[in-house]
Amino acid sequence: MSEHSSDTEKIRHVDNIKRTFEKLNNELRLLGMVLGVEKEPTLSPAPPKAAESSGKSDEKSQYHKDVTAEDKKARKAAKAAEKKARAEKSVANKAAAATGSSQQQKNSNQTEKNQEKKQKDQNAAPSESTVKLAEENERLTKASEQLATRMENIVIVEDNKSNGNLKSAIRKHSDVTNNVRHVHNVKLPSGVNFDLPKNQVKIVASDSDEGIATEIESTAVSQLDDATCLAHIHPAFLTLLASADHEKIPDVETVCIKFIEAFKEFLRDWTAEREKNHTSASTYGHDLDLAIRPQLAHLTQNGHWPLPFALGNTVRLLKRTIKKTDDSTNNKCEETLQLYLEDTLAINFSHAYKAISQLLVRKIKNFKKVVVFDWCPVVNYVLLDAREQIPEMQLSVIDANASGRGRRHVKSFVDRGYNVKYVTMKGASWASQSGGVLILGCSAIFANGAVAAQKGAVAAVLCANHYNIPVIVVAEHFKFIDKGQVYQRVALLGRQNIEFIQSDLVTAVVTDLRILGPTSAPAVLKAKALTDMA
Amino acid sequence: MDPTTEIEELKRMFIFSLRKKYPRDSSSAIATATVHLLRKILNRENPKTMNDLQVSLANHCKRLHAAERSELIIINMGLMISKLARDEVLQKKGGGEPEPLYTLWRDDDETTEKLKTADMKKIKKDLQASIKELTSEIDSSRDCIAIQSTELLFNNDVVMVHSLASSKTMHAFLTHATKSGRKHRVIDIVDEEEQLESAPDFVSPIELYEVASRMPETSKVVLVAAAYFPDGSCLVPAGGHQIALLAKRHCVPVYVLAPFYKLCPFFMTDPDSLHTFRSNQLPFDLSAKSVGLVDCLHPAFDCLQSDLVTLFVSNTSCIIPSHVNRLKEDYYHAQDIADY
Repeated sequence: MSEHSSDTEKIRHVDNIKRTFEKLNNELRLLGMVLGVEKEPTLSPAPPKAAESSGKSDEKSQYHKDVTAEDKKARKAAKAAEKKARAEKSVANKAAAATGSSQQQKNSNQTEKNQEKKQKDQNAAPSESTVKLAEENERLTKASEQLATRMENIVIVEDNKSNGNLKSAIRKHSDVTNNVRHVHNVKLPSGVNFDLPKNQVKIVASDSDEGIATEIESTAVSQLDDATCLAHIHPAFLTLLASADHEKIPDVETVCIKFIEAFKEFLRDWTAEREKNHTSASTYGHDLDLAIRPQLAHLTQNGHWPLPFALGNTVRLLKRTIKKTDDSTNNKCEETLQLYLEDTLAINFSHAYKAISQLLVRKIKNFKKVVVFDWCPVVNYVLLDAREQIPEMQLSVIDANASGRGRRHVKSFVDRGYNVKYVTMKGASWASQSGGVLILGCSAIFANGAVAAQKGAVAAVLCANHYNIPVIVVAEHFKFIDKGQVYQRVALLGRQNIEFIQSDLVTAVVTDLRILGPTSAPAVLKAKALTDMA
Repeated sequence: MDPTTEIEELKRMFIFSLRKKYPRDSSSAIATATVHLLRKILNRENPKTMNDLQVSLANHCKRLHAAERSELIIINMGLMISKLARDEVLQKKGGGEPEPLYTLWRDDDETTEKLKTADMKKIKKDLQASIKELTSEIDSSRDCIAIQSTELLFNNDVVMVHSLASSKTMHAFLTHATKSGRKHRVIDIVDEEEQLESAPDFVSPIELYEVASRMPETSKVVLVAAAYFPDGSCLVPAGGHQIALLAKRHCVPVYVLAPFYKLCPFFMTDPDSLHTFRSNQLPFDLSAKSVGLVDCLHPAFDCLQSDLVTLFVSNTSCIIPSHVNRLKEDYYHAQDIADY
């Protein structure tokens, strides 16, 4: 599609428009002659036009043989110009209605069109025809210019569609009836309805196969649902998805770590392929960004289930870094990214755990009896650390359901030979009664201080509040999300459901930065530049 | 046979029958059994005076309760019978019981002396009749409570219940409401996975950890009491406390089904002494490793404070928690409680 509009183009547009108008004029007049007697008074201007058009018909037929994109553009311009012309003609018609010569307009739209043509001719007739034509020319030129600028913004698909129709319709030009069909099936932007028989529509539909084909190609990949569509997904991500389906991933941290590792694999393979193809490194970031989109789309089932909140954060930060990569060679780019991923792993996981543990052990020293709910690896790390430093610490584990992820805490303690109390959900109240502090892990913390935790956490927290024991939530900084509370399921965590704990039930949140109140979540977002990520 | 040994034998049989039954019999059955036992004991003992009767009943009840610490019903029954006896005596003597207010400052040695020396032979038959009445009242309490379901549950209610499988009273309560044409939804909180499949048709079962997410759509919560106390607090099966706390947070009314024989006249000073623990739930391999290290607890009861309960549904009527103290006057005599 050519985007430059030079003078020659404009002139060509104008010529095309003129030709189209003349063609239309001819056909309508002929049809009018077939239909009725009303055209008799205008027969006099008709023959000269007919003579003109017959003279031009050779040109036209030649013209029709070599159809180019510019012509298609012109057709579109012609449609719009017709619309404009028609509007102006209707005004003229109203004026002519006073004189009483435009009654035929009410009979049929075709005759209306004919009438417009007649009016045009009549308008042209009194004054010098050439002058009028020149005026029309100018008007049409202006219209076509405007349309030319507008057409640059039209999507290819629509063009192809309409052009497909046009093309097929145009091909049929050999006789009058076909031309009439063309008139009907061209998409006219105005609300003009032609009273042509319906069966003519079918033919066009079968002919615009090309249009339909292009239509399919341009829509999203998600329409295809068979195994072949998985071919472009990297096996690392497929493994991730499979293990998530089998509920092998117990918590958000593991998901993040696994995702980062899968991404590293993907990055290695992708860069290697890039090297093979000898693509330049300048578009590395951009291409990588495009390449991960289908992978991520597959992971979230095309946006059906959004990524778990904390993982969403990580992915967005990753995308930001990717866009910023600007190195000389592909390998260097890869190195930077791999380094960044390693850093993320270290900062978000090992260092964060140590920081949180340091902050929290000081507090646990005051409360000797600790109650925990359900599994969280951060909490586990903290507990083991604390137990080593505080021998008198007593631990109670509340487990949400019989399939017992809380048992992992028990196991880790028993392996080291420590004492543990274990209760199911029924005993949550009893455990809180004798406890000193409740420590919870979470999946995410929202901007309003609400905490997203496992099912059953709200009940445990309410029991703790009832017995006036503090509730401490443990969260690394990447779990803070710049959203208000959302109610939705998340992908990749075995379709587990999440509960939301309001900020007034939580005493404190321990992050790797410091201990703060839950309503101070926006401060963390700002500090770690996690805002604008929604 | 010597009456004393007979009585001991009876008591032993009673305790054994209580311990043999697993799962535990319904409370009404235990109440009836206790009443029968006490009646037989009274027949054999033949107390001469009111005082004797009272003392002997108290002793027996203490012994029995010591053997089965969690069954407060035993004490309840003993004290109820004692009250029945006092009523009979007063009827015979004529004149009503003096106002409770007066007993605080009035010198009532006279009355107590009279009661102590009252002759039991005359009232024996009447006492037996009253005890029979008591048993029939216990048997009918389930139906009485079920009838009240139509006043409490309405169309379009979403009712959350707990321990439907183990309480016949609860079951009767809900089926009565369904039969009377109330169109309500019932969400049942089940303890174990097996109960998920075997729930009756009109309930949708959920597990205890899902309660918090289902509470916003609930309009009523119904629980069963194991025992309730004069201050309005009650013991419910384990897990009830969280449900009640969640209900309070969402402003959902909590109804507790509490037949009269579960009303304990004593305040619970030390609920921990009552907390029985049931069998543990760890899977086998973890149990093997965790021998000696893991304290696996499975409490039987939760204590609900009176502000968490909206209404107690008793067999006579529905009562608010603050009224329980007055209600106990109907079933127990203050003197008995004081002397216990």
